Amino acid sequence: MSDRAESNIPPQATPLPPELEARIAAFESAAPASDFDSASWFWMIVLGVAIPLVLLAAGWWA
Amino acid sequence: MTTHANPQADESAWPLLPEERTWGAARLTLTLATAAAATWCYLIGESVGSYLGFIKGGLALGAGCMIGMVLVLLAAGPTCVRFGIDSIAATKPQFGSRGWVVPAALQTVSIIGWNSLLIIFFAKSAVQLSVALGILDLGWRNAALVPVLTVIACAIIFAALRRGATGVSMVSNILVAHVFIGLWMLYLLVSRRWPELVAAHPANASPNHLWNYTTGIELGIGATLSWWPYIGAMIRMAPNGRTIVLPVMLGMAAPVPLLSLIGLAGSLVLKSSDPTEWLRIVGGPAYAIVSLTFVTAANFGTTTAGIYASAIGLRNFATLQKCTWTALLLITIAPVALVGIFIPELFFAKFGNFLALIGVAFAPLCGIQIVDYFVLRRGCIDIRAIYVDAPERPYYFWRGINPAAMIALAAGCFTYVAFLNPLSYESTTLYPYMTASLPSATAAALVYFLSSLLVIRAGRGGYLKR
Repeated sequence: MSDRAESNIPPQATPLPPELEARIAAFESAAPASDFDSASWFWMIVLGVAIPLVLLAAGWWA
Repeated sequence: MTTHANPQADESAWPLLPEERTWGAARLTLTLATAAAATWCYLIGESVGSYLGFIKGGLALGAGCMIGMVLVLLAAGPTCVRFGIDSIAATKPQFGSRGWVVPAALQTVSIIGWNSLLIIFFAKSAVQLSVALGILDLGWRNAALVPVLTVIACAIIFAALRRGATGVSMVSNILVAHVFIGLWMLYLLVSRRWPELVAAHPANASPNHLWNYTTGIELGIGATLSWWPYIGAMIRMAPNGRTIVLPVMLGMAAPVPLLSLIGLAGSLVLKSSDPTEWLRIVGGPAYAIVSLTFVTAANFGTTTAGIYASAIGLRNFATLQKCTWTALLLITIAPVALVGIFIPELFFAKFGNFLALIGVAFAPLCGIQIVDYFVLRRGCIDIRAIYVDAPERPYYFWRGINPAAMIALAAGCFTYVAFLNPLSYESTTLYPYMTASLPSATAAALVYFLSSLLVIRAGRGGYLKR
């Protein structure tokens, strides 16, 4: 079977438990959930990049 | 189809609905801090103290922990927090709807292995505490109490975790005080032995100063990368990405280097990383009792979080999905209890090296997840495909396995061992300039990216659906 033909098989070949199905449907019908906002990125850069660089420089010259 | 918040949802590996994710930043910080602070902190400190002095060692370790933690956060964080799923479910877009058993095996062996070690530490500390309090006499019979205390500890953890993630949070609320006891112990050592501490020379320092410094950083990165198996089960209880960043970076990454300074200071000044031993030297028996209380509480909190994360990870196996939460907890705790009852000393002596080898896999795992989510998929995750193992679903790849992830994982592990042997600490000439975890994650990410181009060309993996 070709790749294209495989992808034409309708979904839901394996039935899911009703509660799991409902949870997935809830995510699919809602607006896509976001991961990190700009404030999150700011703190990740500060705490995961900038501060480690400062600590590394301070430690090397200590 | 409508859905309602299910109070038992945190006992499954299914996605948590936004209304079920009720942990705010403070609750998550407390839970993560309690989980992070354990006996391994002063073992990490002792390792760093072999190569670096107090100030250099503390700074290198602190930087390494923050770098490692941000990698874990970028790898597991986005998918876990968007859909309320655990670390293992979040690997299905990369490893496939069946290939995820590889990270699951890594998680299970790592968590159960570490939990067994910590619970044995806990039992030994409790015996020492009882002797220090005069409840028990010194004697050979005390060794026989370790298995008994292991079973009691497992029973308490089981009882706490009957309430799911709430049980983890409840234990954390009680035990978080030990983090402050740890900081007090550090203050005590630093304030009383500062001149000796600054003058102390590390016992096994290499003549190559850069190698020593890089090893301090590497130990920090490695320590926090090993939080990958735990983190998903915790952060999925939070409602969004903004809520998790500061708790993870400050609650989980910061306590590890801070409490590791206890082991670092102890190993440099008193040639012992065990705070129980050196607090008795510094402050007498009363301080030793405080220290033993710290060790007992610390390991208990971490093991509770670990058993919970491991149980949620095991839920991803179809055969365990229908299992009751009680039965699943028993399945997860049983290996820990059996090790503590039958082979505590043997496990203590032999399993540490195996855990060091397992830890090598987490850096490439992070590299693979980061490049998959941010570069290849640009954040486009098919939540249905995570739970449906069928050929028509994008994460089925080939027979449920994505060869690109397997090859990349192997390449990353090989790169790590080529840069630094985690057992002998033999290293390549490039290691002092690059660490071992960072090239390992980069190599895995690069191999994954390149091999995924072939996967995309074959029309697999759901990369073209954007």
